Amino acid sequence: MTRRYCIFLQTMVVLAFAFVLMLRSPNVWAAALATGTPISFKVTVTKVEMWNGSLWVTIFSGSAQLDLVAGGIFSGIGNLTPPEGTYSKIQVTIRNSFPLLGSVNYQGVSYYTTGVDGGDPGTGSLATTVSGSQAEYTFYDPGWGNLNDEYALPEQTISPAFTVAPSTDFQPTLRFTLTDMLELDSTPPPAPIYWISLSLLTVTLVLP
Amino acid sequence: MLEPRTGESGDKRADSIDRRDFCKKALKRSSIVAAAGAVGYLAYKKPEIQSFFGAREAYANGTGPGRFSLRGDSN
Repeated sequence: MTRRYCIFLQTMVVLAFAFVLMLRSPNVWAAALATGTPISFKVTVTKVEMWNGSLWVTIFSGSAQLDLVAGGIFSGIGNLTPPEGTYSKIQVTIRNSFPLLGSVNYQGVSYYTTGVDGGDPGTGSLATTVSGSQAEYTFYDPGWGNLNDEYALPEQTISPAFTVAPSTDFQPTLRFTLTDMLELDSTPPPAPIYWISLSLLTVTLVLP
Repeated sequence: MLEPRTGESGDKRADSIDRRDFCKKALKRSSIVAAAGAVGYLAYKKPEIQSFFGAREAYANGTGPGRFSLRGDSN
């Protein structure tokens, strides 16, 4: 009797653990119908700082936007001349606001982003099947604060350290993972409403 | 009685003229050397002066300050 009771308790503990894991993973409950990749994804950098061994030196402060799908150099953060010194760490601050365009194909039909909220503001774009109605929608990542907040990405070590000298041209790259980041979801039939959301953002600063 | 010390000629007046002439020429040579030195130094230090001599770009490209650019892309 005691042994059976023990086995029952163990089973309950395991089930409870599995249940907690499922609760912490919304995708288990609400898997996206389909995924897609944005055709335009704009990121705004508001500050670039570098550590010169004794203090953080602001290399750029302002507002520089770039469409990361097109790629290139952030407007206003090109060919800057940092103060002389040797820099061993870098930190980039971005705005928690990501205007994007994109679509998701589901069962042969394309669903496009619109400028209309399909859920909580900034987290879901009401989808349309009319390509001409496709419009930019501004997402934000709730994990990085509120919409338009400034979010400092984790500081990163520059190795070997960057020394400002006549021939140096230091070009780090801010890289977002965008492949299949758009997710299509819907309300239940018979009259489903479709919306497009953005899965958690992954960003890295690639040093030369 | 000793003769007063003058120049090689022994003529006080001629020596004075020689000395003045020598000083003038020395001053002229010094100023030319100083001017050449100053122009050379400024041309080396200042890109604007290089541009005056028509070589600003070459100078700027060769000895300009370090540069920083932030790139962006996606994967």
